[in-house]
Order: sequence, then structure tokens, then C-alpha cells
Amino acid sequence: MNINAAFLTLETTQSGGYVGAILVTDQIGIPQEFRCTHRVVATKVQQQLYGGTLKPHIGIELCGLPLLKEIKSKPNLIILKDSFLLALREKHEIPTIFLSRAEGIIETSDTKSSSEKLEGDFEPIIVKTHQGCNSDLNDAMSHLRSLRLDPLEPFVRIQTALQALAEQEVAKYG
Amino acid sequence: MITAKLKILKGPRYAAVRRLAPIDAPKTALAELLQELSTGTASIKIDKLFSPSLEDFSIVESVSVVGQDLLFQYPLSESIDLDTLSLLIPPTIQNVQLLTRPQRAGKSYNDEKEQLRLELSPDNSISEPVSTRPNSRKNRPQPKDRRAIFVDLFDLIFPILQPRVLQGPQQNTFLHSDLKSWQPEGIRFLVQNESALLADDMGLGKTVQTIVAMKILFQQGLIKTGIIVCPKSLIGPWERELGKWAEELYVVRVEGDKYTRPSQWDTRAHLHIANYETLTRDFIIEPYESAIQQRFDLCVLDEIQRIKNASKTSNACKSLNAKRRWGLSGTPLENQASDIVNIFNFLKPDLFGAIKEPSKTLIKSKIEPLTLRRRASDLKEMPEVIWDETYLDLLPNQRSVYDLAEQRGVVELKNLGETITVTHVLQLITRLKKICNLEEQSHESIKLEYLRDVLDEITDQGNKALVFSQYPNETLQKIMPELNKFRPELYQGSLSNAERDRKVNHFQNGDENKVLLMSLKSGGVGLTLTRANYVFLFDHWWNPAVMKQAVGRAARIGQEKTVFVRSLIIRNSIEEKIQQILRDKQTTFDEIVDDLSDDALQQRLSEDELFSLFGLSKKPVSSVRLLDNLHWAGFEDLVGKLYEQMGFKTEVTKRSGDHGIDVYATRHTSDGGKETLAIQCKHYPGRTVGEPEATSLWGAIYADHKISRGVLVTTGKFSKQCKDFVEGKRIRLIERGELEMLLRTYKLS
Repeated sequence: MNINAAFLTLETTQSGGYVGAILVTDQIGIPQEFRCTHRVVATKVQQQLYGGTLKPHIGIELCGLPLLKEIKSKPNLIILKDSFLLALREKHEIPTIFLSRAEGIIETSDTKSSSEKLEGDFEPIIVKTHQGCNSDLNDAMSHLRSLRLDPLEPFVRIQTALQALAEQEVAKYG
Repeated sequence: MITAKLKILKGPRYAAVRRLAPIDAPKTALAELLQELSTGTASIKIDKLFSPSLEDFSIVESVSVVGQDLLFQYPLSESIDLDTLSLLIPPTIQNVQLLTRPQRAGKSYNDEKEQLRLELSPDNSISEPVSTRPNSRKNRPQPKDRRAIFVDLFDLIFPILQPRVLQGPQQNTFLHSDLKSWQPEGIRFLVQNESALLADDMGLGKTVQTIVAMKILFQQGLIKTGIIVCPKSLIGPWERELGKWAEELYVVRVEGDKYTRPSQWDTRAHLHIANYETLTRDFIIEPYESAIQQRFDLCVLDEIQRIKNASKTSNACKSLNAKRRWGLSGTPLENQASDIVNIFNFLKPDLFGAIKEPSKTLIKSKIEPLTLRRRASDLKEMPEVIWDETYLDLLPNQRSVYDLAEQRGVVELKNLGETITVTHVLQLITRLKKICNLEEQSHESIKLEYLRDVLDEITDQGNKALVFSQYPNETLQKIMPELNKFRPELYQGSLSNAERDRKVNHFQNGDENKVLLMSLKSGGVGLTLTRANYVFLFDHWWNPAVMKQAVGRAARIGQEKTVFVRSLIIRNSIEEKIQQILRDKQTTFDEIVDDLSDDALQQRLSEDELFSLFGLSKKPVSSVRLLDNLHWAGFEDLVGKLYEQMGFKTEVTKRSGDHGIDVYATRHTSDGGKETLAIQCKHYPGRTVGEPEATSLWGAIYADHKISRGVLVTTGKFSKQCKDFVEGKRIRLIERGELEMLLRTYKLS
């Protein structure tokens, strides 16, 4: 079975604001599709009004969902490196997981969601699902084991690409 | 609401172009399809798409629509002169651009003339290729601001999104093939040094090391744009290697006249490639401001010894605005202090500070960390023989003559009808191969240019070379004077035994002759020429066993160095086609054949394969039987219909008078003018049309200034006198073979 994995992230930009991006790759990491959003900058009023929910709102409503809707290469698995984006799973049917290095601190204190350790030719990774979708874990682990790459590595590519795009835009449009 | 892209793709080569997989569609006339595409929103008429000799779209093989892209394909055997392309755009359509699209690396370099994109954007509907943008930006660029952007942002960041190439291990899943054992060190050296001179011996793969190093830097986002400057003859090989090792990079070749180069400089791409002469013209002689102001993250000067002296060329290179600067050279430079200083003045301008004449010791200590030089002889793992193919593009005159010879040759073959044999095909192959070697009128030869460039490097290192060709008279004798500085000797069959011995002895034991030009037939066997460790196969014999035998002159007992063998192959030519078929067949040929002429090709390719080289079938069938059964008046009507199908308005004249003109055909041209053809029809099945008919037509054209050109069309053939007469005149001859082809194309058969 061919596995397409989507790596979805919300990055903070140097000049303030956020950019959402999604990279879909095949099993060996060859990019199939890449999309990103414009920089989203919240006004001071919005920051006050949204408070702690601002980042999840931008990540899920303004970036994550539109990106998932736009991509043409439908993934078998959505991989996140920000735990708050796991809430996306409530709005679609694709198994969605949050990854972090095993020695790192997992941001969420939630104990209801399932987690498992993934080992390979990379530093061990903790795989965690949305608390309401524990059944994702089996599928996700099987997909992850078939990937021939460090599943956190594509996020580095995304960051570099976003940086390059930002520089292009600055250079071109000021 | 139309965004249409028109691409003209040359054969299956472009099957891999991203997002544009060719789709088999029913053959449809180009004009119909464009009309279909633009129904209701825009209309467009394409006028004079192809060269007059090929009249309109007769050679378009398939047209298909993929999304909003239009794809046209025509057989590789055909040649299209897109310089004649003109488009008639209705004034209601705005924002129309006819663009040459930058090439994805390696997808054939003359593509700039072959692949065109037409964008129609009557409204602002150009979709944003990269982003889903939930919040709109007030200052977001509008389509009209982005006209010069031919490569979208996704294309530019594509390398960054690729899986990482590791610098350590030799073997890497994401590379075209395994690196040689010494190459990772060279790649690391380049990646780690912003200023670097890679001075490996020729044959160790400086180009490949540089490309992989660039690939890594692109992936890491450390460079986003680069420029490669190299000798003209090396542009093709660079492109080929880029295509193999870094196909994710978009490459623009800067060339052509002063009107086309500015747009090439302005085109966004990962890499620009220019030759030294072009760079000097655009930066110094007739400066193009936009090019000069361009900032590159990396500049690579291949054969950097070209700037060792103060010159316009070195000034042009020094005015390049690039942070990283790499030089490549196989020529030993260590002992020439001033050369080194000049070269490093480019690579690292502040290296010697204010010191004008640094001592040799200082130079050595300063450049050592920035220089990597490996000699082939020092590398223990080097194999005895390294084979390589070098693909080159014909020079402009050579290309024109080649294309014309191929077109004419194909028409002649078709005219032979059912009498055609393999021998006829082989004769055409030989004719074309000779043009690939050397175009005699203009004396242009890209192979010769390449040879001159690399021989400089090779001989500077104390090496010698053998150059083999199967055409001693037509090729070797003619290129010999151009290689005088290398004191070449010619070894061919007409020499006496004593002369042969003398030449071999001189070459083997003396230092004077650096190059031995050898006829394959006389020099391919028996000789020992171990003084040479570079072998150039100027043309091909389609039989690796024969080539091995030739290479065996150098690679044999007594040879102390690695032998480098280079096969020179012309892209988009009969040489490449045959090479491709042989490669696809993956057959091995171990036997040596005695016949070293092109006829030996019969033993390698089937009749079908040989005929297919020119788009012919084994037994051409006269599909237009109706021609023989037509009355002369019916023939004139048929010709009239044919030209109507080609987009003309036609008038078949009355049966008498009108200076023998049978059909007038008129259409509007792209520049707002009108083109009128006077067509004379000669229904002479099995007979020959002579000079008097052409003279009569010429008289009619001459007498009527409204007539743009004449066409003499026959169901028979034209005599040589007739063909000679029309040479250089505004008369086109269409004889039976071509007529049948046109009738088939326009579905009138």
C-alpha cells in the first residue's frame, strides 16, 4: 500500500504572526504537494479577545482546515509537531498524530489519549493521538513504521522553505 | 475566466515535466482546439505556427488538454523553426504573454526554442500556486505585476522540500547514482567553503561534485539562486548533468541575441547558465543593467583559468554579485603566481589584502585551505578505464543545416514510396552524422569546440589524447588545422607503412604531438598508443565492441594512468536517437564486426527501428490512392481544399488564362498584413515536372506584386533543374510524398 503522509504545522514568523503549512510526502519522503498560508497577524484587539485560544484558533480554523481542504494528494496520515493541532482530528476522518522526541517534554498533560514509542534509524519518538480517537494509534504506528524517514525531519524542510518564501516576499514586495 | 497555457513539447522527452503528463487525445487540429478552449471568453488565431516549408500544423502529432494546459506533440524526427512563430491575438484579450519557459534542468537545452508557453489571462484569475491564503493582503501583487515570473514560488522552494542528501556516505537513495569514492570529500569541501577552487584532474567529476554540493546548499536553504559560467561547449554537458543529479532545479540558459537575453536574465530560476562571451557582452560590452544588479547566492566559474589574465572577461566575472564563489579547473596553476592571484581575486577578493605581489610562500599558505586538487594518478581506487558520454548541442548554423538536411532527407525517403530500402535510410544517417561532426559551409562544429576546450586542460597536465572518427577525410582532415596548437598528427589508411610507424613512434616517444587523430578503420586495431590516456570518440559506430577495440590502443599493457574515454553525442540528433534505441534494447555486443561503416547499424537495429528513426513505416503505403484516379480539375479542387484546411481562403481559377495559376490562397498574417499564394497544380502521376513549369510560375509571381509566394504542387516529381531553379526564389515545391503527408494530416485522404 502506498502511504502518503501529511506534515502539518503552524510556524511563528520572525516579524510576528503565524504561517500554516502542509507538506505531503510519499513513503520515502519525496514531496508530493506543499501548501502554505499567508502570514496571519492578529490585531491587538484580537489578541485580547482570543487570549490563550488565539493560537489554536489560527492553527485550526484559519490555517489547518483550509490547508487540508486545499491539498489534492489526500494523505493516509496527518503528522503534527504541535499538540494543540490535534483538535483538527475532530473535524476530519484521517488518522492524526502528534509527535515529539522521546526525551522531550510533551506539551499536553492529557492522559486520556493513547501514546506509544516509535524507534528506528532516528532518535526515539513518542506518538500521541487525539484523546477521542485512540483507535488511530494502531493505524498510525503501522503507517509510521512503513515510512523510510525520520518522521520529524520533514518539519525542518517546511521551516526552511517557509523562511525562503518569507525572504522572497520581503525581497520582492518589501 | 481563462488561464490557458500553451506548451509545445518535443516528443516524449517531456513526459516527466511536472504536472503535465501527456495524455493521448484524438488528433485534433490546433486551431480547432484553441477555439474550443476559448469558447465564449476569448478567441485566438494562430498564424504561421511553423516554418513555411512545413506549412502550418502539418507536423503536430497530437494535441491534448490537461486541465488548463494545452499540449502539442510532434515527432522527434520533425524539426520546427519556432523563430517563425507568430500569434494573432485579438485586441480584446489583454495580459497575453508569449514566453519561453525556463527549463527544468536536463530537459534538453535547445528547448527554449521548442517549448513555449502562452498565457491568456483576460481577468485576474491566475491562481496562486503556492498558498492557500485565508487572509488576503492588500499589497498582494496583481497578475500584471507578475508577468516576468515564469517559475512559481513552489518551483523555487522545491529543492528545499526534497529529502536530504547526506554528505557522508557514498551511496545515497536520493542521488542519481553512486558517487565515486573520492567525490564526497570534494562535495564536503565545496559545501563548507564559500570561496573554493576545485582543481581535480579532468575525469574525476568536478561537475558532479559541484552539482551535488549545490543541491545540498539549495536543500538547506543556504542558496536560492546561482549562476554557472562556462565555455560555450560545456553548457550542454552541464545541463545534462544537472538533469541527472538535480532535476528539481530550474535552469535558465542565457544565450541568443541581445533582444532575447534580457528576459532570460530576468527570469526567476535556481540557476542561470551563461558562457564567458555572453557574460562579457551583457556585463561589460553592452551592459544590461538588470543582469548586473542581479544578486546570486552562488557563482561557479568552470574552467576558471579563463580569468587568469586581466581582461574584459575577468572584469565581467568580477562584477558578478555573488556571496559564494567557486572555481573549477583541471589545469595545474600552482606554479604561476600571477594567475593564482588573479583567480583568487575573484574567488576571495580580500585574500591578499593590500599586498600587490605576494610571495609564493604566502600565496601557497593562503590558497591551500581553499583549494582541493586530486590527481587521477594519486587515487588508488581509480578503475583502469572510465567511460563517459558527453552530450552536446549543435551550434546555430549547424542546427539549421542539420534540420534542413533531415527534412529534405525525410521527404526524399517518402518520395521513394514502396521502393524505399534500408540502404536509403543508412545513407541519410551518414549524411546527418557528418553534419553532427562538422558543418562544412560555416565550418561550425560543437564537437570541435568542445575538443579544443578540454584538450587545453588535458595537455596542460602533460597528458595526450587520441581522437577517433570513421570519417577521416570529411571530419579529421578538416578539423586538424583547428587543433594546430596541440601539434596533431593524422593517422589514416592512405599512409605508407613507414609513415604509420613514424607517426606512432613520434606520438609514443616524443613530447611534441599531443593529439593523434585516428581513422577508426586504420587505427582501431593492433597499435600500441599507451602514451595517450584520453580517448575521444568523435562519432559513433553503434557497436561497443568496436569502440572498445579503439580504446584498447591506449588502455593496454604499458598504460600507467587511468584511461578516460569520452563519446561525443549530439542531442536532438540521429546520434542521440540511435543511442537511445540501443540503450532501450539493452543488448550487449561482444563480437567485433569487420564492417565499420554506418551500414553495420543494420546488425544492431531492425528494419522497423531504422525506418522509425525518421517516422517512416517499413513499407510505406500509398494512402492517397485517390490521387491517381483524379481528373486534373479534381486535383486542383483538392489542392484548394487542402489550403482551406490550412487556414487560407481559396479561389480555384477558371480553367484557362491567369498565367497558369490554378488556385489563389489568401490569409491574414500576424502583423496585420495579407499573404497571397499563387498555386500551380501539375497532375503528373509517375512523371516529372521540369524547369519550364517553375519558370512560368515565377513569371506570374514576378508580374503580380500582390502575390507573396508561389507553390508548385504535383502528383509526380520535380526534376533537378526545376529544384535548382526555385532555389532562393519565393516558390515552394510540393511533390507527391509531401502532398500525401499533407493530405493525411488534414484528413483529406
